Amino acid sequence: MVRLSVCLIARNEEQNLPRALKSIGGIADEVIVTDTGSTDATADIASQFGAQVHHFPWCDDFSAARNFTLGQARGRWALWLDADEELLPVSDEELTRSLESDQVLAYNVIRQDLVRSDRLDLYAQMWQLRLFRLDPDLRFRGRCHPQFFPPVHETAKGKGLSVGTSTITLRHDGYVPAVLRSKLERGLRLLELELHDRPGQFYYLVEYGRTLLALENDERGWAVVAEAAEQLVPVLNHRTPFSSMIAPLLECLLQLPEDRLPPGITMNTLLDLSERWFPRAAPLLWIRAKREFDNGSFEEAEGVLRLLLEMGRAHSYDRSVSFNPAIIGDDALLNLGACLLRQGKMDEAERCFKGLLKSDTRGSEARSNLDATGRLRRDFGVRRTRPKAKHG
Amino acid sequence: MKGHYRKKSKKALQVACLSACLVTAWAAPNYADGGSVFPVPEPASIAFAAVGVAAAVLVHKKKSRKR
Repeated sequence: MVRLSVCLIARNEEQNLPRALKSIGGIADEVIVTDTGSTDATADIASQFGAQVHHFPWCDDFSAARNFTLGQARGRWALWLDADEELLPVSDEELTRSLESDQVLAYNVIRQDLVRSDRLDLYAQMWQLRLFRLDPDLRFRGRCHPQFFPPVHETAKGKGLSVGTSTITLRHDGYVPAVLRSKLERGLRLLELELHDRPGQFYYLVEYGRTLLALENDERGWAVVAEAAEQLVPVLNHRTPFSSMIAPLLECLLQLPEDRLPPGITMNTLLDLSERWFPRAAPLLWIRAKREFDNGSFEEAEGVLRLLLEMGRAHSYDRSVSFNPAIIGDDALLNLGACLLRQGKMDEAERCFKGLLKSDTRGSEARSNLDATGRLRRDFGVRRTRPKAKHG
Repeated sequence: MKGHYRKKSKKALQVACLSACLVTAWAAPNYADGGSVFPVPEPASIAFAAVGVAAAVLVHKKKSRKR
């Protein structure tokens, strides 16, 4: 019996595919690769790794290609993998636990999003719904960033099953700057088509607005963001958000001056929603820290930055909201040092800067701040506080 | 006189700390080196954080003050 089918679609992925396929070698009972029109050795490489290769003509729709792929699989479970991902070694115990549960329809697994291919330790973790039963009721919709439709929790409820979480972990390097811009441009076109097919979808409106802004099309980007924000106005008093995509929308809106906010939304509303709905969303906390810092509220900024650093150490942030991992790492530590120095806490500030001296992203900034602190010490004759001797 | 000098000096140090030339890093939280946007999954299945957790920052701040 086929227990687990690993499924992926690929086009011109000869560079990435060996890594992806190698990573699932030990656990997949079958591997289904759908080639959507490669002109390189993608299909040959997939065959060499023992995958079943199918061909599907690209029709500007990732969900169509994914659903075709699922239709070829015979396992009881499917693990969806992208070509620019790899599965990190997983314990047999964890995999067995996940696949043998008769209560669960699908699992969120952990995905590590790298921002640099050479820094495997620098990532934010995200939940991704990737391990699920091969059930004809579970199908994707959306030309890009495919989502289960109907939503998986509704399907699970209807079947008396649940949606679980698993420590199975994928590593993804598709966001490294070298590949990002072309991805954004391709995504933009698909988002336009998606919104043309099904206008007004909140998820895709936010994604479209963000992509436009990232591609520096500010005028159109802000108009789309405002359109998405209109859907927020009627639900401001709700206890919980209707979508995790509200968090990136709040991120965008919080960066606007008050007089440019869409009607019915104030800066206080945005700050309140951030705290109520996404209290552990790192990007929203980051924006809050920056606001406090800019307002000269250094103690407040210090508290938020310490929280970000703690969340970074424990990966205890909201994993439904994506972000640049620097904001729970070196950037947060650098800014914390600045907050501390602004409050006259020289010893603590120096500890922050010293902790960054070996950083390849913020080392030079830390050195510069350490020099500035040293100058203050000299000018005002401030000695370093010696650590208290321990007694007994 | 000596006390007065110390007071003045402390004030001057505060001002100097507030105006020291420091480098900070406040890039937008989702824009990495190349201006990246990270797509956010729609994990409708993941229970949104309980409202009670909203106190996380406040609790943290209180702890910080105690320290």
